[in-house]
Amino acid sequence: MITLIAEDDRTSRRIVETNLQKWGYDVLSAVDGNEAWEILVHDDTPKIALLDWMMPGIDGVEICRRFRQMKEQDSTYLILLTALNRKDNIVEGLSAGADDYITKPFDRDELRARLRVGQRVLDMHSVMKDQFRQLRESYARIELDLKAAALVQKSLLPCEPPKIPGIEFAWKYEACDFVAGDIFNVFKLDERRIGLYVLDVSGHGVQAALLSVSLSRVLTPYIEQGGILKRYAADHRHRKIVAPGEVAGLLNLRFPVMSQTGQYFTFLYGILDTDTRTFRFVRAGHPYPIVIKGSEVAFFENAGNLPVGIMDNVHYHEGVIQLAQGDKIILYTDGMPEATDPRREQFGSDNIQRVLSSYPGDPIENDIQSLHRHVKDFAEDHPLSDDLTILGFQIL
Amino acid sequence: MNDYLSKPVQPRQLAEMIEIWVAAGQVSRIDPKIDLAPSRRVSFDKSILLNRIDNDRIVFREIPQIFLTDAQPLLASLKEALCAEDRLKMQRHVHTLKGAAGSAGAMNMQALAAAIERSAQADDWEGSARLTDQLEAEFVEVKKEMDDACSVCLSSKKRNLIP
Repeated sequence: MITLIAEDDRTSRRIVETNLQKWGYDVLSAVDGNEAWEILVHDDTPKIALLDWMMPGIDGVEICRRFRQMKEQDSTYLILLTALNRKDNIVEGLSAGADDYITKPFDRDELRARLRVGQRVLDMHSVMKDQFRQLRESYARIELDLKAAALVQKSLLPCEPPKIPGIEFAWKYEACDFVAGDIFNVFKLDERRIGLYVLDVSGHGVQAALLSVSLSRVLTPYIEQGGILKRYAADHRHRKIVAPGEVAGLLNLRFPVMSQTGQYFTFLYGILDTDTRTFRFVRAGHPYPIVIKGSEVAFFENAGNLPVGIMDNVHYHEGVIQLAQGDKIILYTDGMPEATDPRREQFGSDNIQRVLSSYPGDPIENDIQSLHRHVKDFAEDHPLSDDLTILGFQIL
Repeated sequence: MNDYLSKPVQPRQLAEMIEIWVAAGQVSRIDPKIDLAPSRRVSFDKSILLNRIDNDRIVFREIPQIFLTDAQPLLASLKEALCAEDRLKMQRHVHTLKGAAGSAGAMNMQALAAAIERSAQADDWEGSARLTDQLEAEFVEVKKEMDDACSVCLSSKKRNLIP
């Protein structure tokens, strides 16, 4: 370890040098303050510097002060050598940036002990610096992974509304973390029926996202890919669409997550029959769907069930909404009604109803945009505390 | 208040404090050299230096040489500054002398230098002059004892080399 001794008195300096060498330090010597300063600001800075308080050129205290100003990050341990041992002087030295002081003529054991303290502090500092660097690297790696995961998750969401004659779809999706616990999808089940769901895993972040991705894998009509929304008929050739209530039951059977990870999820899955204009759905712990008929905006409060993953053997009831031309349905996650403003007030269902009522006759796309804009305004552009999904459709 | 001692009071510190103030002429007019504590009867305390350099015999011979070489001109500069009544210069030289003497084990010189520092601070030119004379006389003693110690050291080393 490189150590500097700056002392104008040759006798004292030689004695310190001798001792430092005996203790295994690499010793640099300076005969005055200016020389000491040159050595200290050099690239290969000594790890410990013993600085005489009173010496020609820059004195020891001033060196401490300048060094700490210039090299804030540098961990060189500065020890003042002083013949003055009055309290106010010690305070001045330490305030200027010295780590320790030793009074002259020094006691050999004391000098050695103080150098060891210095070494201990430096070791600790270097361990901490190392750990901090590792932590920063790990965090950067995690952040990179999360961004990649978010991309994967985004790829599972529909990119654009399906083109189905007579039906208009619109949505808005926003994750509060890199990865989200919310997920949704819209897909054709057959020539006349469309399936759509909105799902919200408890919590958010990685754990929630992993479960939501697993769920999106089974919530597809493709049996070959493990989908549960269709099944083979008794002839093992034809496929039939599984009813929403049964889908909820299947999920509840396959994802008993509460007992495994303490998670659960709410979801709303519905099948829209474009021929009969009926929307048959199951709502498991999920917020009420909004039904808009003309200027009338209503929450469909019937047919509620427990969230999925909490209890065995739940029978899930279905609800049916009969729609007519121009009618709209909006599904969403609790990120919308529970969006909070800086005073911790929630957006709430009243605001939802108010926003939707103030633009009667708007296309569904506008309704979704308005809702999203009002939620953001309400939160005064603070980051969302939960994921937010709004999905709607309209019978044209 | 002229000075202070931290508690618990160590007998050695107390003795040194008395030495300093007696030497400064502010306590008694008795010659401080007569009034020194028994441990300071020697001008060059070898044991202090040896202890400070871990009994290294080679460095032990080197230090007195350095000290004697540097102290001589310092003493001269000190006297010059005293004649010119240049307090700052005086304080600087005597401060360096004090440090060097203390490191080398010339404890009486250290005490006298400390006393001069204080009397200079008090603008006591007469006292400073008297103490400086004593310092000079003490330096002659130190030189004698250091030379003796080094020649003994040298001869004992020779004895070791030639059995």
